[in-house]
Amino acid sequence: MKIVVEYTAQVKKAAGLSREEFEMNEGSTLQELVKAIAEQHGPSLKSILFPDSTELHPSILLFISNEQVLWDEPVTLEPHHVVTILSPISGG
Amino acid sequence: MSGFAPLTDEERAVYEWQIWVPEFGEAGQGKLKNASVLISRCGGLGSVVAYELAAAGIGKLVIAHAGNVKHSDLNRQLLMTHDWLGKPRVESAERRLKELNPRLEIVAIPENISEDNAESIVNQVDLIVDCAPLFPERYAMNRQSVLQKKPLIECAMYDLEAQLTTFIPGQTGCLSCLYPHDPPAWKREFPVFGAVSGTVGCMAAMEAIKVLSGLGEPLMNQLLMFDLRDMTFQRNTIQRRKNCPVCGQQAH
Repeated sequence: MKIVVEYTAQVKKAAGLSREEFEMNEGSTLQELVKAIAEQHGPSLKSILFPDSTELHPSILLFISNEQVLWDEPVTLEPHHVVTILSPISGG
Repeated sequence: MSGFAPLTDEERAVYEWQIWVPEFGEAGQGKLKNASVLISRCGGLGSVVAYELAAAGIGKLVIAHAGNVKHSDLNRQLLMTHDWLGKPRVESAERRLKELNPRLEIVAIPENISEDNAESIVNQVDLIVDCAPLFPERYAMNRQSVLQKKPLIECAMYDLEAQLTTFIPGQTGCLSCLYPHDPPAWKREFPVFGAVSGTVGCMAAMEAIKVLSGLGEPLMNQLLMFDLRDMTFQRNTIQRRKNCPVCGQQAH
């Protein structure tokens, strides 16, 4: 199944694009998708998403179709899902 | 501010067009006149928030911002002017705000918010608009927002993107629910246009007006994200963390 993934802010900069489709197996989880994204895009994105370990950095937010999902919530993806990965921004 | 100061005839004339807004009226204007707001800092975001709130007739602004005006401030920090280069930013901000609204009470603090000064500064206001560049400043304001039960409007920008949400203690989560840890990727200096900070600054000022006057529906439990590069706007539901170390002990 194809899952639409959207990136924001520094995640978007590291990914080099704002939106793409990811091919995932039926029954895949959100965690599997995010790890696959980090592997596919290489070190610059991986260092933002997973700087220290296999756990997503707590400051990175995940949304499925405009609803926030926490990293430790088990979520199975469905074909209509749009996943947004957000990195925090600030001001000045 | 002691007591509730009624509107004067001059104020009714100045704010006539917004008093016409349904569900706002003279009662809403009176609430703004008797309200106080902290804006920290008064840079790209905070300048515009302060200017819009001054224009709207807020009674008192507390503005906190250290340092002197630099050339690189001038593309977005609209309260800073070329003739004030090398002089304190809060002085430039105060001068410009007073030109716009001489009735406005301003407390200008030439410091950035920190864990050391946040309690006493937040204690002077009814509402906080967080326009700080660094997350430790934001967390210091957030902690006092929760402890003193004062609404906190969070606005942020990067490149052509912006984020906005409104935290109201007891009714929403807080900044530490949203971002439990200081983001390692965030840098003090970053690409941005003044028109981006101006856009989200106006929206944050509108949120402040709504919360203070009871108008409309503030962005509670939602994060507005937009990208002016392609004009996409998203409103995402955000969660309150029950185990949040800052607001987790408050009644849900």
